[in-house]
Amino acid sequence: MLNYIIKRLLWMIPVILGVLLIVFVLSVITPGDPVDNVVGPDATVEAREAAREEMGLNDPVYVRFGKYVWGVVTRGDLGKSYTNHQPVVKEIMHRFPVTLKLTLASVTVALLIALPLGVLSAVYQYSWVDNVTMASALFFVSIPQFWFALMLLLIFSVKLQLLPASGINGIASWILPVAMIGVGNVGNLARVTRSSMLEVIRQDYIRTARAKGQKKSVVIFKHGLRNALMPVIANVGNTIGVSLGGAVVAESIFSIPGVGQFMLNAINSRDWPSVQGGIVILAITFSVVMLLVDIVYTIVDPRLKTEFQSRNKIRRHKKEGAAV
Amino acid sequence: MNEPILRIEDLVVHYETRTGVAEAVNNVSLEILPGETLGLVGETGAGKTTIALTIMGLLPQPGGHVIQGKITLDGEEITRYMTNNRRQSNKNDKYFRKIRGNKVGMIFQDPMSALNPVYTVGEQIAEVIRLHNKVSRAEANKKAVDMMELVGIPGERFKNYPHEFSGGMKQRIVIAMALACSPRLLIADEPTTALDVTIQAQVLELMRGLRKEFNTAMLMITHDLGVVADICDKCAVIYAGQIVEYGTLEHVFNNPKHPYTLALFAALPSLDTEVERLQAIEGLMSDPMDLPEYCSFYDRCNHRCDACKNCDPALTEVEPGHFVRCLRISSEEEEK
Amino acid sequence: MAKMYTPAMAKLDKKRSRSRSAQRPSSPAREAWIRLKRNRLAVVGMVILAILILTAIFADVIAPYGIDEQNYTDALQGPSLHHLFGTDNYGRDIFSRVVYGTRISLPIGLICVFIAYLFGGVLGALAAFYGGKADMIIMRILDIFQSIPPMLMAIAIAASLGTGVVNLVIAISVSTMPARARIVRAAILSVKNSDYVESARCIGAGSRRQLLKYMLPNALGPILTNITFSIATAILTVSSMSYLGLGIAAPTPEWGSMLSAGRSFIRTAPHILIFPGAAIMITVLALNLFGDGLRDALDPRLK
Repeated sequence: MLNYIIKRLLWMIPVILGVLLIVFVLSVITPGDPVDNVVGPDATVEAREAAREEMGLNDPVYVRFGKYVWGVVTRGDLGKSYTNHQPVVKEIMHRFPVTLKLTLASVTVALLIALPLGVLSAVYQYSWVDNVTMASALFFVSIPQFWFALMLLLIFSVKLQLLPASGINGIASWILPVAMIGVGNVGNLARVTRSSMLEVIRQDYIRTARAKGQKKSVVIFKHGLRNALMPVIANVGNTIGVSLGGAVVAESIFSIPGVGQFMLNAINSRDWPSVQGGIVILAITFSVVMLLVDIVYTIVDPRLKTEFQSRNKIRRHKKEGAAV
Repeated sequence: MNEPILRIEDLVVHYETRTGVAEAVNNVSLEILPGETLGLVGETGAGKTTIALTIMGLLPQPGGHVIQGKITLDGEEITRYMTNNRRQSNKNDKYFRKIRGNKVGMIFQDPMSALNPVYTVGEQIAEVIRLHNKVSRAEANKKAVDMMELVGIPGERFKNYPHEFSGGMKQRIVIAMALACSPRLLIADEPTTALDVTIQAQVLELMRGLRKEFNTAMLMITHDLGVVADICDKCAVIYAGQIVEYGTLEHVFNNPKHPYTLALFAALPSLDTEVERLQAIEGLMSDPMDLPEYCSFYDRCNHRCDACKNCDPALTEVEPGHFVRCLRISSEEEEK
Repeated sequence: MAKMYTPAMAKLDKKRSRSRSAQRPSSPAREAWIRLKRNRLAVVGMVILAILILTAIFADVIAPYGIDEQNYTDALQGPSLHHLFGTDNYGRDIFSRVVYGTRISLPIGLICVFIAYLFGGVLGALAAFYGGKADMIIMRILDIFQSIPPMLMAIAIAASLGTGVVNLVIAISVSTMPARARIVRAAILSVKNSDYVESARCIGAGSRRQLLKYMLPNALGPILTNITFSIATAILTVSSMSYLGLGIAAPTPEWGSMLSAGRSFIRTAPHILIFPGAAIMITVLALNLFGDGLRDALDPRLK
């Protein structure tokens, strides 16, 4: 078990390097001269050259990448913002907690709603609970997040004036963003839970448990749910990825000062180091979350624990489940 | 003493599906005395498992219904608790929960999937003990270890998960689970089908020993006449939901009467006589959704005659305790 | 064993039994089609999709006004008989713009999925078919790509390349490609190790023959289903990106950018926001309904 965690932690090194490479390549291929964004188009040739030298743009590409990686690894330095010349890391880190909270809150809420609904729909398959749940789930996965947010704003802020339309102060201001990020996840997770639960309650071991004289409800929760959770857990990783993307959109719509809003503003002002930094931080966050999900997965499924005591197969297992 | 543990009288079970009604069990009657083992033989889809699930009150829902008949278990009529009345369902369920695992233990066909992969085998055996006995967790665990030892699995493997066992060992654990509360009746639904032949013998040997030790009556469901010969006292041959031949092991094995039983024996390989080919039974079993009005074995029968097409034969006693359902036999009896 | 029974075998069975019973359908595809037709929700999805496609083709005929036909005297009017969905701040007819929007969302969604599947599919198929080192290297690279959530990846690419249809398509295709590669790989792996491919190998079928004749038809089911869902997701992403200003910019009547432009009128003229969003939802809903039906029809065991 410990071996596995260490292996997974080591694997994060190439992942982070890979992410750095991707954002670096994107920064190189972006059209236009980055110097323009720092000194403005009217600057003298000398000023431009000085800026170019200072930004290290005269080095060959691989040297620039080496310096970038070196800076990130040794000093946690993601560069300086073109617009206010502050270190990007500092700017991002004080916005990061909001984004993380928003993401985790919406995933948690989505799970709390989707799990019971999915289980109920499976247990009472074809009943009205099932029909209503599955119909709403289908709507939830089909609704565009940002439009859903606009409709929520329209109803709860503009018409009813119940909930604030922007900012993050107090519990009420969290409701709409969390609802917006979570809506698709509720639909998706409820569908996954239902189909997984349906599969599980047809298994022989459920019949065995009932043949022991166990109560039907206990059979479902003790013997069924734990097995049915496996594909759901595999899906939670993806859900968090989707929610991080959703948080970016939510921050834009509800003017929430998080990493997403910071990045979108940076994109508008062509402040590439800030965009780059935001992507890197969110990707690292996502990788850490995936690691945690993997670990939870192995705790829930004893089969995997023994499996990678001998061979390290869990990733293949899990990814195939999560790819959907 | 000779009050039967299980008596089934005239049982009819139907499955209602979207495409129609499957007549899974038709007018089945049988009896098992204490300590006795009855073999229920038939091919896949003949209704063997349905009978077992009916006794356990575990017919697949929705769809499975007991249409008529009476099942008496240990002197108590359990069919009373099988009504489809909604208001009754809680009471019914409560009643059956006390029977399952306690009075009746059940062994399933595929040990690979019969155990829950996420709990240790010990926990799973202890679960049934705690359900039916007022014991502490520690006592239940101790009893579970004892049961594991009894079926030949070292007690220290209590904390192992099912996937860490071989198929034969899993089946032993399932047996331990079924016997943990010393049930009066053990239902074994093809307990050896999914196992290797060498393991099959071991498991049968184990069951034979345990049956004596616990003095448990047993309903052995199988399609393997070898298993029946090995372990059963009585034998019922079932075809398309009907018992076609019923009697003691000697009756059925030494003096088989029904064409289907005869065909089953003809299909067995034999060491004594050299034959070129085994005699397969031609054709398929009638669809339980569409059973004929006449003898359901007619289409595959080697002894059929025109009269067979005109009636549904009744079970006839050909010698004391030996029953056969065939027009040929019953007309012979009448002639006598 | 139930596992051994594959669609391809069903086909064989059908072929054999055709002589015996003539009324049986002839191929698994046909059988799936019959199951699909029986699924009411899937039919609803197909009908909506058909209407949307027809709308896209005949947009010129259906739309009462042009895309850019401005009429300032009629600006910001609510829905009426003249303007079914009302007008926007330039006095343009929203109904007409939503109708023309089908010409953007549907094809772009399709193209994104096509490109993602083209490249991802090749990668996934290579990984699955060659296995071993090649598989490991490909999957590790995909792992790295997938450590950036797809939406963020799309934002990053669009931010780097700039706005516009082509860049948007690149952004969405690249960001979803790893997931598509995994789908293809998983689908092929699941059939690769099956008994019927084994038996094909035993009768001496060559590599390419194996891949094409035995694997592809059986692996196609989950892939087709995923393609349908992918188009739905792509359409959602296109509109989200455009809403964020990273996709298709105004004045193109893309549904997401229409919403983006109408945002500031949420208090005064909310009808601007309702209809384009509803159009996205109906399109995606239809695709999801169809996808669900397709999945059940192609793999009836799942039901």
